[in-house]
Amino acid sequence: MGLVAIELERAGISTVALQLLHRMAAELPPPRGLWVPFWHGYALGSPRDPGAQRAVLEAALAMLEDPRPSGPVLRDFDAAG
Amino acid sequence: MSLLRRAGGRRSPALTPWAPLRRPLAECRLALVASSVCAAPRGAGAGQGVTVGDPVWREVPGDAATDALRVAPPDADASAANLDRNLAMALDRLRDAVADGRLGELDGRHLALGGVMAATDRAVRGRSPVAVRSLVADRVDTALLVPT
Repeated sequence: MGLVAIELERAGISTVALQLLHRMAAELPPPRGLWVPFWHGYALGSPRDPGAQRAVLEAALAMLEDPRPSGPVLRDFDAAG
Repeated sequence: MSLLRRAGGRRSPALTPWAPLRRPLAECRLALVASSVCAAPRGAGAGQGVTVGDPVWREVPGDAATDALRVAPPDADASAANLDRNLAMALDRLRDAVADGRLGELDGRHLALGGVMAATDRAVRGRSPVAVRSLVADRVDTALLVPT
């Protein structure tokens, strides 16, 4: 996904990519990556928990608003809030 | 060969492209790009399976009912995502964000890619340009990428 994000950024589209593999995210970071501490298949967290899923989405959206002039930026999602 | 080696090794941060938002999120059009293969009932190739490394990609209509999508990642357990498609295709959560005024609008289509881990070269050469052309044509401001 990071490679797709890079191509989108080159075209002027801002991206944020959820990341399930911390080592991969660190070694091959997308422009904006949010590492989430969930299993494969659970990128947004818990099934049928809209509030928790929205918290992940909000953390990702907040990264898009980061005013810094360059990346990459990798953040860890804090499931405890 | 590892994904890192296939991609050419570590990348200098200075070489990472960076596109800042051009307007507030509340005015932005967002597209979802998922690494799962989500087949919508009326989507092209709906119901077809994929094999690892298959550089398939599918469009998911922007108005697709989330429960009608079928999540079929080639290299991961899809049971959770099929229990709640929002884990892979977070369309309901994104629609909530639009309804709340946090986001401007969603694009009329979203993209589902498959097989990235085993087909990096083809993903870069084949699918990425397709995704870029599609979203640029739609005047998308920003994209959320969700792995499975």
